[in-house]
Amino acid sequence: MTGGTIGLHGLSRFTNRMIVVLAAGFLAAGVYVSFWFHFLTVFFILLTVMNFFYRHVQTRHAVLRNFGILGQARYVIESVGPELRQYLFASDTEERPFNRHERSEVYRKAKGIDSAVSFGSQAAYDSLEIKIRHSLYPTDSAELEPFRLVLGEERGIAARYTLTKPVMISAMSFGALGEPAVRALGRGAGLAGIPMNTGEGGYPKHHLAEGCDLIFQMGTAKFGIRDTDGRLDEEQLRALAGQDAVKMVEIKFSQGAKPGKGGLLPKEKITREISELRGVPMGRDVISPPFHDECRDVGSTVRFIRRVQDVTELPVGIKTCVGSFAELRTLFEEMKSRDVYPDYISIDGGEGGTGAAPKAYIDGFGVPLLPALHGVQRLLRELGIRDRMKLFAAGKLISSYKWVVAMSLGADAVYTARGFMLALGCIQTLQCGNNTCPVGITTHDPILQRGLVIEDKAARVANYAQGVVHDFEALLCSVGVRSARELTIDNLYIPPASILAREALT
Amino acid sequence: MTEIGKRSTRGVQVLLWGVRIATAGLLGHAALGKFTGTEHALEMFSRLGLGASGRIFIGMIEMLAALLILSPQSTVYGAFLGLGVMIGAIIAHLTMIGLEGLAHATLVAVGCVTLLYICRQDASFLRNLWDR
Repeated sequence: MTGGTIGLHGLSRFTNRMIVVLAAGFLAAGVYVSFWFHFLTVFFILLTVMNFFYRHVQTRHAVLRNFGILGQARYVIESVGPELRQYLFASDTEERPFNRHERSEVYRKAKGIDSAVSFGSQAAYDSLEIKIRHSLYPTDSAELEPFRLVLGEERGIAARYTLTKPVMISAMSFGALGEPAVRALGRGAGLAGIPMNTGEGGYPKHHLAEGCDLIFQMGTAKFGIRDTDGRLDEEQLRALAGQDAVKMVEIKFSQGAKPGKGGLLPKEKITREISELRGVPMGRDVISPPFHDECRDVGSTVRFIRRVQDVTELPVGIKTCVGSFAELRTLFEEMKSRDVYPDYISIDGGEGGTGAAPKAYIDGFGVPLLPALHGVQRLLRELGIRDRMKLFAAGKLISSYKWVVAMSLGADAVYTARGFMLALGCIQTLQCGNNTCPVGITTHDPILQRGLVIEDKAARVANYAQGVVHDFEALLCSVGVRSARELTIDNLYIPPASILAREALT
Repeated sequence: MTEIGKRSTRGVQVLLWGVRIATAGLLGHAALGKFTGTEHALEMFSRLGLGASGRIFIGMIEMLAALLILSPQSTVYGAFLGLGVMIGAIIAHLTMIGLEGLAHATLVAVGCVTLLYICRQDASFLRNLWDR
């Protein structure tokens, strides 16, 4: 109700009076002319009653008390605002977290449609962006080495796991996602030959149903593998790690959506099945603790990593969003002094992710991915332990360009969750925490899930993964390298003003 | 399902279903009377000057309202529609066709208002009406 307030006052006064006058007028017309007029009489009587309630009965909404039925228009227009902005008014490059160009790139990949564009970039192309440096002598695609990353090779364990594609489906639990979405992702991952992270949602019943390779994530609440005190139950973990599909285990310390805060599953999304799989009550938000009870300092943290490695006999990684490099340094030094390392570290960017989180955490916590990744890479090299573990990156890495940037800054492989959600058909209505996802991905409402046909979406998930991997390989050729391992920061043009500029960091 | 319905005790749930069934039953019964052309309905609509088409039309609205009321997802819309028809019926009784049948229409209107109140969280235009 901004602008022209005086006009609105007059208009609402006029409207409020006219409703009553029209009700009376149509009543008279109905009696003296034709009964058909009473259809209008009824309409205006209902409006009059509602207007009375808005103006004199309810006390919470000042706009309705002052303007009556006309004020209700504000709520109606506000409620359709996001749709109006997305469909009509927002430009192709201004939406967040992914603009229309970025989303349609994923949609096209998922549908297997050519995504070439013509007549120049729509991005705000200027000297302040990171760009990939191409070579005068690109690599012949026949000379590219197949991607191969062996997890667990540093420790020489028997149950090593080999990634044959540089991408994995990032952590999304059953709970955050509905069953059809989990099944479609799982089936798509199997088709594409990539692993899928289970998220911290307890026993991964639906993830296991599709038979793809899984990375079991252990959150701070240890859903699915906790004892009655909420601490790690080794027997349950051992049994879970013994499942054929479970290839790696990931200990989650923090995530980009809410670093320093435990996982959150809103009560709207807790069905009976989820409450059983997690061992939590229905009707209340499930908030995980912000830390692992077993990890109170660097010593106990490193001991815990070793304990999980010993129990599972699988590659075990840790996931964290970077807060303080100084803290990380002490943790790495402890690892070095004990000669105990995780098999990988997954760096989650502070840009926020799929998880539901308080706005302050999504907007304001955590070091963004690229500086975090570069900082961790430098730290590991400085301590001489970079070759003791792999490095994964996560945070809006939905395109081949972003993969090359992340891998040039140190990542050995990338995770993406939202890329695969878009491939599933996500239209970015930002309702992930409300159980009202209109495309059936982050909801447990069977009416909404009906729209998500597993077979169709599984194919799109696989298409997307294969399409971006194909582009990624083309980019490697243009850079002039034969494998992703050869990528370094020298393959990037980093604007001098960027925090990433080596001058600023050395 | 309404927010109140979700949180309510078994007693309120039973009451809600009782009002739903009673209101929908009365509306459905009135609609059937109009479709089959009972003597009462024929006389009433002849006095109103609406004829057979008006009688069938009003009957269809009443039947639609009854069906909507019986489905928990659409109770609020059915009650709103039913209330509209009953306001019309009350006007008709008061101005043109006499008081016989007025109590019936008023009872259905009260049922509809009760349902609107219980299910007010289900429709944005009603949600704000009683906020205090």
